Amino acid sequence: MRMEKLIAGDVKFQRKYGFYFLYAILTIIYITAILAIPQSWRGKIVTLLIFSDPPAMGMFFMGAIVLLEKSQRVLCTLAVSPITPQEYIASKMISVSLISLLVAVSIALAAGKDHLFILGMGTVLTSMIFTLLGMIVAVKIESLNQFILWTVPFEIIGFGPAVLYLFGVDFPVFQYYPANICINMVAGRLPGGLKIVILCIFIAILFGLAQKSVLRMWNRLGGAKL
Amino acid sequence: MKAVQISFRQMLVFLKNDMMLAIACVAPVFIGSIFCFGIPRLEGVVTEYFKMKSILKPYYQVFDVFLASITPVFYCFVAAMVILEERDDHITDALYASPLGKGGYLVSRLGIPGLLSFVITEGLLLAFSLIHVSFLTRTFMAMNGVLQGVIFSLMVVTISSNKLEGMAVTKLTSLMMLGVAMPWFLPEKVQYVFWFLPSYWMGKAVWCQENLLVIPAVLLAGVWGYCLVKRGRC
Repeated sequence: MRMEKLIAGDVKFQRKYGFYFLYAILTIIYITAILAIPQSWRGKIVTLLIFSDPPAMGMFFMGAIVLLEKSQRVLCTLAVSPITPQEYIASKMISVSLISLLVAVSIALAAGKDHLFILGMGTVLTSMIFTLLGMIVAVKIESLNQFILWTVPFEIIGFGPAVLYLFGVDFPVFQYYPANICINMVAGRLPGGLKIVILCIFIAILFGLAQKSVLRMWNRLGGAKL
Repeated sequence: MKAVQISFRQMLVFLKNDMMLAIACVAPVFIGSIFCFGIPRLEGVVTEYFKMKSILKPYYQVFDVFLASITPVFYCFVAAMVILEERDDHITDALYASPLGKGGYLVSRLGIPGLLSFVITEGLLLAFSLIHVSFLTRTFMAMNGVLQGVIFSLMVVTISSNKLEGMAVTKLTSLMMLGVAMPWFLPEKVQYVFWFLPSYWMGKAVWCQENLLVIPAVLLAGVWGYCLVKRGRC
């Protein structure tokens, strides 16, 4: 019940600050652009587009979300409530994944992509990874510029190898790189059991790190230095 | 004038603490290098992959215009983020009431970074252009980029009421830059849908190699700027 309310609150928050409106416009623009490109290029470009934008929104917006929650004292309220850091993080992950999934499926449907279930799963898992990374960075920063700066290395690590992998640059262990497993799923390819295990372990590690960071942030909230 | 200088210096200190000042110095050079050295190599890779003679080469001018747009937009974006922070912390109201005033504040946050980015863009275009362009065209490209950057920041700070909305608006307004590419990708009749974007006219000027087309770009930028300042949440 608490979790449902948290998610509903986050969805409301995201709707109020224009996330749904923004991504509705972006989806229309993306679909228009996709329909304009030649059919032979479409597959890879749609995969790249879905992988690089909707799931990455957690990374892009998390800094602003956390900073705004800090300045509105939302976090102070949450810190003294029965809500746990796990629930706080999970709620963010689920609410952001929801928009990512809606956008990704809309684009995939318009582009005539197959294997929508695997694509959807890939989008959700990628979104979770980027949201967790965004959260880990966001709790440490003091300003938006700082956040944007700190996310750059994560974006390079996240997108660089995956894009290379998509275009056929492959090394022996490259296929087990979490971002590459995700982009494979977004492309509609079902990964093997080992790859799913790797992905789950990776997400669990990130979740643990995010949980530690949020707990540390909550413990620091409030009070004054005299 | 002294108040404007102090206010600008204050922003530099703020950025220095964020490490953003160092990045602002390095990033445009990095982007320029990627465009100049990376794009021709990428062309080699993609032409081999898709077994085509050329894919990116016909669009080298688009990369140049993008470079002219991205550099000022980058600086103005940084300034817009500072404005958003200051507004959320209620510093802006205090600065408006000081001798700096609203005009001085906007000059220190957008005017001076805009001017600096003009000089930097001019230099970067000279060093990293993929296609040779005349001094006049280069200057027009840099000038248009600056105007676009200022409009971009004004949109972010006038439409949004806080950091989060600011980020959302940033994402949306960055699409305005795509106007530069329209002449290359859309049929002539269709591309006029984008007539209201200064970036479209800049792209058109480079595509047609007609410097006079910069005039509608500048006029439109003026109208955009006037409307945004008048709307005035900044």
